[in-house]
Amino acid sequence: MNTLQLGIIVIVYMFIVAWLGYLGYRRTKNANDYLLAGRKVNPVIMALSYGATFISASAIVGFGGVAATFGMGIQWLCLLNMFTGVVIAFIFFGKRTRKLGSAYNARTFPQFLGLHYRSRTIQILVAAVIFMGMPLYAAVVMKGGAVFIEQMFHVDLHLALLVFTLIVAAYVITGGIKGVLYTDALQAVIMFACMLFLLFGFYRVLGMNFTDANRALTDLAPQVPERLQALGHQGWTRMPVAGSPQWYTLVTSLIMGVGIGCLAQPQLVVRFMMVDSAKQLNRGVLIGCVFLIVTVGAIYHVGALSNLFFWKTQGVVASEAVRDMDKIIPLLIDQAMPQWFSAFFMLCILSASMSTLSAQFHTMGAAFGSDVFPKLRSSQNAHSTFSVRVGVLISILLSYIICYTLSAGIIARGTALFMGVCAATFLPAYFCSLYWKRATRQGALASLWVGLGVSMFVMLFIHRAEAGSVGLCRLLTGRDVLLDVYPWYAVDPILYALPMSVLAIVLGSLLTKRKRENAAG
Amino acid sequence: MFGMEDPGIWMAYLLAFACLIFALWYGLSRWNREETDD
Repeated sequence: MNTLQLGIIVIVYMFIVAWLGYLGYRRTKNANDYLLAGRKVNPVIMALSYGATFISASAIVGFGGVAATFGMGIQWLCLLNMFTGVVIAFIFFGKRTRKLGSAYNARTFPQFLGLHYRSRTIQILVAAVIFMGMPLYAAVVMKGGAVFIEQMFHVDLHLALLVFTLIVAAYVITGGIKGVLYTDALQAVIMFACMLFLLFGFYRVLGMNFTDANRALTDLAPQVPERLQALGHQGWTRMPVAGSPQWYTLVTSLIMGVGIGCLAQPQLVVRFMMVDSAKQLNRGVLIGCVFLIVTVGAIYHVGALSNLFFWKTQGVVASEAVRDMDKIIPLLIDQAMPQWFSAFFMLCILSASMSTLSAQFHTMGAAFGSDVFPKLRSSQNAHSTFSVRVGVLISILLSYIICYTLSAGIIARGTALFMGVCAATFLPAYFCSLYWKRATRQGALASLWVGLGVSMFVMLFIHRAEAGSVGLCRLLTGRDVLLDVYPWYAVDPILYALPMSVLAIVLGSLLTKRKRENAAG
Repeated sequence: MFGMEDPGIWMAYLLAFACLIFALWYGLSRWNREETDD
């Protein structure tokens, strides 16, 4: 398939996406439509949008590369994505969020927390964390999409990035959340079909069944590169050595960071407030789990099995065929699958990137325009969406700039990093807003500050993966990390910050309650 | 089990399928049931 044919397929796809964005624009009458689609979203569209937003190019290209390098241990993340990301999220978080969000008439996640704790400070703080932190995650997703386009079309990365960003910007700014939801649903269907075909198609390429392929991969264990063996790698069908650097990366950063972090993702939480009854969320549990096990489960499984393909065709394992983890899956698709499938997979990657990116831009725009600067309007109309649209535009520019500073192999880690910060900062206050009536405004504020502060401190001074590359610790102390004792520098920030954030909301709430009771007595 | 010798791996697959079966049962049994939200 030549570049012209690929180009035609992409142009047709983009036209359909643009038409769906236009449909969203036509059906958006006011700010409530622009932010929450009038709280009357079809449950199938909501669940597909939730899944498509959850699964970005990071999950497919980045984590697929992790599976190819580290093996099947990453399937614990697939389990957690389903169990915490859908079952726990929809049943135990979603129903109460929908009910309270409707009672408060909250339209964004920061507004939900701000209204619950009756604190404008909390609303602004949460919105500021979103507006300043999410561009990193968006930049990572952008990079995932652009790297793949660059490899497929052999076009300049900068041009790929620019065109890709402009198209998403166009339908988010004009179509609002309805434009995002309609395009998400189409993109989810493309991703689902593509991953299902990849799973079965790849087994045909290997010429093995499920058990035989696993056995062959087990037998390949002696070929693990020495540099990975030193980190704890024992083979692609075994977990890394418990307590090894690879184990800490896999378990604390990738599995726990994303597996727990997904519960407090503002762009996912807001989707619970878009449906009009709990019945719709029950349906979402089924649709979300089926979607995730096929999309995530398939790419992690194929990623690990890619070692068999590279060993058979090149005599090397995947991480030796290409050193940059983010380029293993694109290379596999290019070499192992039929040419027409490469075009289909490209649409899948575009869909995964665009669906996540559009939700991120919309969430950042809402944080800026609806939460921080609600009075920024082009007219006296209280239902104006001008400020949100300005916010979307600024967030796109920020993400675009950050994207140029990202290093290689950053896609999976960048995703885990943002989700970990979200969990440590937002999760205790969010959970208590739903389940603990004694939680106070002061307790929630303490939790937000402690979660954010400890996360940032650990990232800059303790966790080697970030502290080493940022270099602030070296500048101030002359060392890469403050605690140069294993395993402390290998443990992800979420394991330090989340327990302290929980402690802060419990102690903060109990102490401020006690103070109030004493004053009353 | 299934060619994977490490329980740390095949347990992940088994639990993911258990989760899928639960989701199918939960979603289908409540597909038209009006709901306490508490």
